[in-house]
Amino acid sequence: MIKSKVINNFITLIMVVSLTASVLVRISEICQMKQPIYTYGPFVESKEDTDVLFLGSSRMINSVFPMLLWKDYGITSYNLGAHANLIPATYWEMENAFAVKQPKLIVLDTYGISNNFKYETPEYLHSWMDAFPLSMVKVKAAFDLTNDPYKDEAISQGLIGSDINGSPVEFLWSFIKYHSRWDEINDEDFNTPSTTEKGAEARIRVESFADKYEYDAKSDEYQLKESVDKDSRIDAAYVGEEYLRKIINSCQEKGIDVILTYLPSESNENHYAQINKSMEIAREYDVDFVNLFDIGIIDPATDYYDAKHVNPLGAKKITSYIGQYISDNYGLTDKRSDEKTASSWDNDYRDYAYYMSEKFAGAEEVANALVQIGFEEFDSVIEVYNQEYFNDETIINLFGKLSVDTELAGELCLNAGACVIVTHRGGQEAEVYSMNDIPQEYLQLLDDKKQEYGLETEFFVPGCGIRMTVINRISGALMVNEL
Amino acid sequence: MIFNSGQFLIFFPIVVLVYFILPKKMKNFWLLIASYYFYMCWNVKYILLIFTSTLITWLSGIVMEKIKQSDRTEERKITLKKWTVAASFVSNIGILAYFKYMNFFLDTIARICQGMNINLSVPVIDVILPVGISFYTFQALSYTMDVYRGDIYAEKNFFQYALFVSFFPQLVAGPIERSKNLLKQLAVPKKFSYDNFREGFMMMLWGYFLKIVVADRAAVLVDRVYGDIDTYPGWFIIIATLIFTIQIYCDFYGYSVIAKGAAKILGIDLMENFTAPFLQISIANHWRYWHISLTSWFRDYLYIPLGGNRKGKFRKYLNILIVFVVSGLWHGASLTYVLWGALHGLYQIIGDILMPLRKKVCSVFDLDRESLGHRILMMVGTFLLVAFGFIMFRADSVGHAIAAYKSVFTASNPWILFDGSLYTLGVNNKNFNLLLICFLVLLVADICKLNKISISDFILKQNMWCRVLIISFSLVFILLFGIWGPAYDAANFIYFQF
Repeated sequence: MIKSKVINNFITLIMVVSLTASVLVRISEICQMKQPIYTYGPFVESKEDTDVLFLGSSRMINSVFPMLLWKDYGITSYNLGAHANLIPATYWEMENAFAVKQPKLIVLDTYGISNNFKYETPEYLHSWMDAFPLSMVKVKAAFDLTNDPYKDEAISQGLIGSDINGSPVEFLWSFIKYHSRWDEINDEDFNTPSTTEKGAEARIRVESFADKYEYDAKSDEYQLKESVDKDSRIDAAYVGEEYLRKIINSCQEKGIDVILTYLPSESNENHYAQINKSMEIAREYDVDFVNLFDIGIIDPATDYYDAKHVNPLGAKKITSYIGQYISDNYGLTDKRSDEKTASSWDNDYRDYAYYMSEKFAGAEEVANALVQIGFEEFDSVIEVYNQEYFNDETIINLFGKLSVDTELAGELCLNAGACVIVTHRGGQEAEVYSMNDIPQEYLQLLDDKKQEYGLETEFFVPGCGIRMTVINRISGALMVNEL
Repeated sequence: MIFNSGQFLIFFPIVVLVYFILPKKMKNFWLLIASYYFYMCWNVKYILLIFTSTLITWLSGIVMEKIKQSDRTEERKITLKKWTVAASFVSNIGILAYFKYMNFFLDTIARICQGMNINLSVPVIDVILPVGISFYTFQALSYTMDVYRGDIYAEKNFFQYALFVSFFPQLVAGPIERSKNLLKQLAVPKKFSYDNFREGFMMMLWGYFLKIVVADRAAVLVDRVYGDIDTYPGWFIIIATLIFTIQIYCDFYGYSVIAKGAAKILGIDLMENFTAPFLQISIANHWRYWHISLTSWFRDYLYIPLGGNRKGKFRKYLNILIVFVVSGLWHGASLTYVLWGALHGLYQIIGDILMPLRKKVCSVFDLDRESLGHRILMMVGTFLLVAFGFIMFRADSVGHAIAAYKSVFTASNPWILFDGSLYTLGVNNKNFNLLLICFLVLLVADICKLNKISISDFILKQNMWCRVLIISFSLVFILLFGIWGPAYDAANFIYFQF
């Protein structure tokens, strides 16, 4: 009798614990912030190999587009850049990634080598950590990153708030942080979409830094107006450097190649000190260092989103450069010829192209829309009804990037009140027409598309300042943006 | 460590597990170590204070026992015992006064001198208020009095007595136990009882619901309003005060229930500290069922020794006023608490004076004082009077309280009740509605308690699957809706803009 009561009680206890745990696991998934799952979920959940991982902060997120690397070089990669990630956090992100799948090569932006904090804020750490499953690596990461003596000292001196340092437990069971999201739960918490950009984020905006430069006839190059000490050095050893060494050591132990890089930036910081330190460490460990900061491929007038981040125009150039560098030096297999891989990645590329066309359609400024028209899968018909656009230097530069004869277009707008610009393959070729000269094929094309998609748009009729129609050559989809 | 901390959730199961594994002789020693560790988690130095109070009051009991057994005359014995009690009280109250009230007294003297244009430089004593000092000091002093009165024999085992003073579930926030109840139970270490475990666990669940779901949620709104009464005047203060009244009830009651539950798991029954105080029909009754351990302490060890109601009406009213002023001071070293206490003293005095008039009015208008409608009216009236007093309690200073009272009396913005303004006080509409639902749950629970219906007994009598569902649901509910863990703010997650 007593024995059966004990058994009964024990069973009740087990049932309470089991039921509670099961429900909490599910609720935890629902309450969790979805951004990490959206961005890194495809990497964590996919069983496919990934040959290259890109690591760093948001500078990396915006600079390298894995889908373009796939299309142009057949390289399978993932952009594991994370917002405000400092190098120690990047180290642990890399280790967590290796626990999921090991690449052949990592490319790391060494910005932050002279920083002593291990991470910025708990929220930034959650932005990638929440995507990875619970494991010993994740436990070590949580405890190591939150054990930050420099941050503790800064908190004790009142330089930063105590909420800047999280507790390790919140990263191991995110429900601790996110349970209070219950009042924000929506459809996306049950049906979380995934990024099509393979971890990258195209940031659409143009900020010109052309004023910082002046043309130097001697070198036939644009030089910074203010002189910069390119021999600047970091003398002290920072925590950033310590973890950079850990990254390289870990990769070399596993037989993974490392490329260190320093991405372009117009922010007022001592970049050369970090570049020189990175080069020194690269030499020490016999790894490549690609100085993208000095390479001169980025146009300061059109290719930046802001001082620290490039926009898609800049990202295309960086992606192309690094893709060529990897192809030339690392002998990675071009997997476009691998049927299984190609089938999956081509499918992903189609989704990516569709996503980029939707993003274009959502642009609210002319410059932002023009930045996106440069996507190679886009052909476009641009009707300009406002001559003022050809007085804006940024817009002129952007049209120039699309191979447009801006003088002719501006003249037509001034004299005839309008012009039509047709671009092919993301601006590799472009034509300019007056409203009376538009080739019949384009008129027919847009008319057919209008019927096909049931659009109400009246093409080639004034009614806005500029009408941009983009045709996605992969899917045939048509997107219109009137501004 | 506080009850709603990760530390306690690790500490407590370990303490319980080891307690029931250890042999009988070691159990109380283990609890003593755990209790001292619990207290040291706030500040290691605090241990000297609690040890000192423990030693003094234990010795007072030993000394009084020796006096009792000596050959002296009865008169001499009483005198010596009185001196012993006085020494115990003076030393313990002295320690309490120094750590809790010294700066308040000095500040008050400075203000009085300033008012009289006397220049007096008053030092500020840099001292940290030891957590729970008011609770364990009163508990220890009650032992001295109980031995004096012959209600109990002196405890000869110092460690046993030390455990009585420092028993961790009720150490920092009560209930203030009586030696007759707790010492007797601690004398007999307990075996594990599943029934005790179930009951205790359910009490703790209820306590956590009150504390982290209700009280801490209400605190967000109350802190917002009281933190800026210029921006949130009139009806904002009225609503915040009403919510604060329930907040403080849930905070205190919740903590007491967690303490009771934790003790129950260890086989110890602590006294009930709150019994539906807001469903009482008078202020006097409210105080009978609010913070019962403190109220009864003041009744037994201050009001009755002062003469209680045995020395005429005037003396009775004076005694009431003294008790409530001291009670106010016990709550905190600030004039606001003193005035709050005094207000409640006045409530009771006025209530007593007006009782014949109220009876007369009811008689003239043939009002049935026992009818449900009348009782509800009295309950609401009592609640509003208590809430009114809590403005003083919650305010940061007397000036702040006066400003709040002025704003309440000139309130002219009732539209805030309907235009969504209440959802802009740090608690959005979903959280506010959840709060209201929780208030309803609390009301139902208190009604059951008032009518001696035990909800936990009802649940425990159900089938296994039903009990499992209810307990699991409660756990998930508290974890999901409780205010705990690192702060989450959606604004901090807009990192993708950087």
